[in-house]
Amino acid sequence: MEEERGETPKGEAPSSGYSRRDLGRLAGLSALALAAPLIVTNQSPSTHVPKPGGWHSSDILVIGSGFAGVFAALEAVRHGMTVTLVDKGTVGWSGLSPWASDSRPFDPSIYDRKEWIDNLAINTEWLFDRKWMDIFLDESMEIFDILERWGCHAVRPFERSTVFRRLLEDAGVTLVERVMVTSLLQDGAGRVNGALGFTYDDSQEPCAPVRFAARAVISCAGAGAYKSPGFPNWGQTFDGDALAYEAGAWITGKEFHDTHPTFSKNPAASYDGWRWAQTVKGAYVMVGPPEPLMGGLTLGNAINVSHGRLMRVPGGGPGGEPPPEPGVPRKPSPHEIANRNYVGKGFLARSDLTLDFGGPPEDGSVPEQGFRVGGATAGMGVHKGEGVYCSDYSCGAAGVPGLYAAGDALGSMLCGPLYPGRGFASFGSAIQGRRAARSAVEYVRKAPAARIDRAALDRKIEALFAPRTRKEGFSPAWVTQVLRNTMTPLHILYIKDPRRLDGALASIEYLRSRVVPHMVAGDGHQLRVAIEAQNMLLNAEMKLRAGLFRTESRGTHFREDYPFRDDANWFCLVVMRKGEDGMVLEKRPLPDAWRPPAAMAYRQRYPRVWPGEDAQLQSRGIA
Amino acid sequence: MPVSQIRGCIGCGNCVKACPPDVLRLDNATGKAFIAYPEDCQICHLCRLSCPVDAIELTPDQHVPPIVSWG
Ligand SMILES: Cc1cc2nc3c(=O)[nH]c(=O)nc-3n(C[C@H](O)[C@H](O)[C@H](O)COP(=O)(O)OP(=O)(O)OC[C@H]3O[C@@H](n4cnc5c(N)ncnc54)[C@H](O)[C@@H]3O)c2cc1C
Ligand code: SF4
Ligand code: SF4
Repeated sequence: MEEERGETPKGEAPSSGYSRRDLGRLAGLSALALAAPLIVTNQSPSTHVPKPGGWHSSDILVIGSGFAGVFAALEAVRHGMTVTLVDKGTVGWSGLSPWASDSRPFDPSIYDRKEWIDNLAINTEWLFDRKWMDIFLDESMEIFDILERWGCHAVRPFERSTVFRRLLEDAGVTLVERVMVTSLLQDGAGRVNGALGFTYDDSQEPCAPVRFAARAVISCAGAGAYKSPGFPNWGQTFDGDALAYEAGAWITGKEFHDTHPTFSKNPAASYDGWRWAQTVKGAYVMVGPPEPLMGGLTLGNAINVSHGRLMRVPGGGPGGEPPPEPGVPRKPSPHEIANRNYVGKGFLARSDLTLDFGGPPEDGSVPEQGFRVGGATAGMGVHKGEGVYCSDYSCGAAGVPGLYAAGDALGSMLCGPLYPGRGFASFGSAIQGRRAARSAVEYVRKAPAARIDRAALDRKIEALFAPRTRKEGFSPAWVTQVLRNTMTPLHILYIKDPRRLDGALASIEYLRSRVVPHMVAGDGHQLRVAIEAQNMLLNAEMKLRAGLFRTESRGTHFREDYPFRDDANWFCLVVMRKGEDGMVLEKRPLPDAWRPPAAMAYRQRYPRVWPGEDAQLQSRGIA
Repeated sequence: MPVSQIRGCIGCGNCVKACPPDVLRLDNATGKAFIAYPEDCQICHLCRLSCPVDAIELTPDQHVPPIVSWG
């Protein structure tokens, strides 16, 4: 085996999660390149549950090192806390953060707050969180200045990794990288006081449990997707949701979807769609308020295809806009023309900014690669719209003392049920990371020292390593493939109908209850993949149940049997948590003051039309 | 094939750390990077961008043909 490593010659059969030697003994070897085998024999089972090393103890544990985690860790240190930051990957390289290029700072000296809020209300179909947006508008300029001071505007997006690492090291944050956190620890009163993870890279040492003790934990673990083709987020599998859900937290936002497209030619080549983002140096700034009806990240395309309008739209920009035609200047929208008036004013007077008015990058750096196809982010919710539910803007998980969440891991509804225009997500994470840290610091000052329930921890370690010790069972790669094939098709995830949702749910429930307990992992990587599959399945169940629960259509949630917005019953969020017999779903109403004005006619409130909507409105007497 | 070939690796380990889905590993014996789990490659090029000697080659097709939602 060993001599085959080093340089991988072209054309050689790739190795799998099982060593090539093991594979030789598996039936169906040649089929592996096409489909993952169902049942596999674990040729290198671990004969014992490995003993964990020491403890990482600190006042605050931060999980995840994207924008949210970096801001959280640095803020906690600033308040005198000791901080450990653990990441499944490596600071600045993992999660979504290495890809964010655009920002949309709100400069009060040039922009009209009311215009921003009014546009957002129409675009997000009134379901965005106005208080979180207020916080964003108040603090985004400050985040811009901080990133500038740190030197982030002098480097390309992925090179922020170097900047973030230097800041964290200088601040004395203990970095624990390439460790996947798999559960939270809680004391007898339910207070979160630590976490358990493991090292999956067993190329030097066998993989082993890693234990963390802390007075408070901030989950900045980001969002997830089903390892779908065309978006660089395969390391993200809703781990933050899974950790919080198992600890008793409420999770929200699962009925809504991100709808980034990819290309028909090589759909999985995520870099091809996003290479423009990695070429940006200097601050990349969206100019002006978001459009009231930005078209890119709606369900429009899916609905058209579902109604036989098979649109073959050329692939293109960040929201899927068509690429620029060589030599033909793009026709700007009236909104864009209005936004050009801001150039040269306020902070936009600077000459060193790259200004973005929406649409595809103007330098033609997104080549045409066939047609736009859907589902690049299948499984992912709207940035900031899915995750841990917090009821009071503290970033604290409702009902779970000691647990905080920020960024893509927090279901704050900052951007509502439909991403309303580029430039909110990364700064939103930074703002929330800082805020979560401030709340956690306040809590830690009063919280008792961590008391670890050793027996419970031992049980968790055993459960974590069970797939390594099993001799035979289901392959995690197969589970992942079945999950993707069950959930990704447009008529399940995006175009909803209760019969189809129920059908998919039956399949997902089967996988969760009957297959997951029998997965095997031949090595550390496979153990990681197995737990990721488990977390993605949990998310799939959440998405299907939330989709069934919300009997209206809004934002990116479309029910064919309820094709209209139902303000009387559904001006609320859907939250879910783990109950005695499975998931419990409830509504959380939004403040009445955020409702659309009564005087506004239905079509003014909701300019986007669902198929079948007008007939439904008529028969239900909604005006 | 996604990440397809590593040629001229000097064993700095950057790509292993940069790869979000854990596709690459350092070989214990040779000290060089190798492609351990190509089926999990998301074709994001972060490994290539992290490599000081530009040793990593990629192709745009996925190991297992992907399923798309529509289109
Ligand atoms: C291609 C692309 C383009 C984008 N463009 C823009 C843009 O132009 N402007 C903008 O504002 N936003 C953009 N975004 C969105 C933005 O990048 C994200 O919303 C933001 O970076 C999220 O930051 P975060 O810190 O909340 O989460 P993430 O950056 O996703 O970080 C999560 C971290 O948690 C770690 N983690 C996950 N699970 C575990 C676990 N079990 N144990 C330990 N650690 C774990 C991950 O490894 C990761 O480091 C884009 C995203 C992508 C992918
Ligand atoms: S392209 Fe991305 S996923 Fe593939 S090996 Fe390189 S870093 Fe890893
Ligand atoms: S980054 Fe380049 S030189 Fe460094 S280990 Fe990877 S392939 Fe080798």
